[in-house]
Order: sequence, then structure tokens, then C-alpha cells
Amino acid sequence: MESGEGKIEPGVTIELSEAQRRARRMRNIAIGGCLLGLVLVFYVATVVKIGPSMMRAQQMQGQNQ
Amino acid sequence: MSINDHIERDISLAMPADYFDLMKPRVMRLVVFTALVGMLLAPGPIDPVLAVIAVVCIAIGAGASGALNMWYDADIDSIMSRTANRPIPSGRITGDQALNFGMVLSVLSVITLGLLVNWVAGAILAFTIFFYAVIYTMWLKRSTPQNIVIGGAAGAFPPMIGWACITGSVGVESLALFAIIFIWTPPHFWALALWKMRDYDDAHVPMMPNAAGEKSTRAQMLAYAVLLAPLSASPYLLGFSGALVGALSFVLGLAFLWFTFRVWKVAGRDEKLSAEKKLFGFSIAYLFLIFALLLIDAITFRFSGAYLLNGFGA
Repeated sequence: MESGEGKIEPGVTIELSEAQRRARRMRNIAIGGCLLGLVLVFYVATVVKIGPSMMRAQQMQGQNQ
Repeated sequence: MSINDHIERDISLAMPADYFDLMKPRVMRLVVFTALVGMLLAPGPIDPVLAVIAVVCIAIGAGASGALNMWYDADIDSIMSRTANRPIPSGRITGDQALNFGMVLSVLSVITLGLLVNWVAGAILAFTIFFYAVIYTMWLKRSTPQNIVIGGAAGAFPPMIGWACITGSVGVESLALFAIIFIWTPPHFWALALWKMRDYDDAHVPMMPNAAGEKSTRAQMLAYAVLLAPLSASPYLLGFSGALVGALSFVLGLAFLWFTFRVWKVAGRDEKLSAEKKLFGFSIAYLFLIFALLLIDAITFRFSGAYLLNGFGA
């Protein structure tokens, strides 16, 4: 398991306890949710900010044709 | 202890709720509320989607500064009974985790607000986080009894940020909202400090009652309350709320003055310090009611073009 110099030997993995696994999973879900939220915020804000001018541009293009 | 034990011990058991606690949710609620009022009172159209985004950014920015505060103050938090159960002193989150969390949220909230709303609002949010985390937490809190007087500005900025989200500037009106919270903070906080003096003494934090004495603190609280009464009506005097709200706000300011007067008059002769506890309770209600009245007035104005009972029946 542990070598004399205090290093973990190759091939040895750390077994997480059930509580550690559960906490990590919950944190991952929370981070994923936050990132998804951030993407949605930027997407919706972009639509709100440039959407109306794009609609106007399209209407003017239609009138010119 | 083997390396495996070390690693097992270092693997975090922190849940998302622990990180949420780092953001001081109760402070965040007040920040959201006052920022929203600042936003609705400001002259100019509001896009509901961008308004929601702005409020969320302001809340997260406030939460980030809370996390940075808890990171820096973990040593004194563990000494004081009121704060001993916070995520870091209770061992649920490490200091490094809190620092990283606070820094990431600070940067994200400021950039998002700046890019999606405007950079004046983003800059004030950045300054607020800096002011709370660096000026108040790192510098003033442990070095001067005026800590919460100056540091109170951090809590007073949110309505100003809300106002800037709509107008892109800082008007005298938003300064009035700032002033109400700024002047309210010392008597509110010192009422708490007067009965938690022991805690602050143990942690060597120079709160006014410990540093200047209870008598001086009570006199200063009274002075702030005298200033707060007319300030409460300043939104009406500056023309961005109606006479009814102005009158009710003034009455609330007078009530605040009365509760503070009781604290000054009793002067600690009551061992239970019930005057201080009553003032602390009322001070929270005062701030909530003042901003709730302004919120009602702002919504009324946006829907009808007139404030509640403007000019008393005009």
C-alpha cells in the first residue's frame, strides 16, 4: 500500500466512502446545473438584446425586396 | 496516519447546501430586495428578463463577498457563538474551498452583469465586493471601532446597483437610498453588539461597545437615529416617491428614533437588555417596511403613472 518513502504504490486506488461519493455527486450535479444556467442566461439575454433589431432588419429587407 | 488516511480525510464531504451557506443567504435576501427596489424606482424601461438576470448577478456578487468574508474571518468566527456553526469553523468546508468559491463567483457575477446589463452597474458591484471583502473584512473590522460605520457602505450599495442597471448612472436619488441603509447600519448593528459584547471581546474585534464603552455607543446610536428620521422621507422630498409613502416612512423613522431613545434612556440598567433586543428586531422590520413601501409606490407609478396618493388626494 504505502512505500517506505511515503508514496502510494502504482496501481493502488483510493476507495471513496459512500458519504464522500454522494457528496461528490451532489457537487457535480450542482456545478453542472450552474453551468447550464449560465449558458441559458447568456442565450436568453442575447435573444432579448439583439432579437428585436434582427427582426427589424428582416422586416426592412422584406420591404426592400 | 497512513497516506490513505490523509487522502480520505482530505476528500471533501461538502454538500452544495454548505456552499450556499457560505453566501450568507439571509444577507443575500435583503440585498436582492433592496436592489430590486432601486431598479423599479429608477426612471426608464425595464426588460423583465434582464431585470431578473441583474438581480441574480447582484445576489451572487453579494454571496461571493460573503464567502470571501467567511474565508478571511474563519479564525474569529470559530470563537464567537453566533458564527461558530458557519461552514468553515464547523469543518464542512475548507478555507481554500471558500476562497476559490468566492473568487469564481465574484468574477462571474461582475462579468455577467457588465456584459449583459451595463458596466456602470458591473463596476459598482465589483467595488461592493472589494469594499466588503478587503476594506471591511480585511482592514477595518479588526482595526477600528468605526468598522461597521464605514463597512456599512457595502450593504448600502445594492439599491444603487439596481438603479444603475436601469439608468447606467448614479443619481442623487440612488444616493438617498444608499444613505438610508448607511445611516441605519450603525444603530442596527450596535444594538446587536451591545448584547453580544462578550463574543466580540473574546474575538478581539473592536466593536464600538467594547472599544468606546456602552454609554458612548448608545449616544452615537441616538445621533444616527436622529439623522435617519428625516432621511427616511428623502425619497418623497427628492420626488421619486409619493406623499403617502413619504409620510409613512417618516413615521417609521420616528418609531426607529423612539426605540433608539429607549436604548439610550434605559442605558443598560435592564440586565436583559430588552430595549436593545427590541431595537434590533424593529430595525430589521424598519428597513424591510421602508423598502416595501417604496416598492409598492414604484410599481404603482409604473402601472398608473402616479405615486400612491401623491400630494394627499391630488
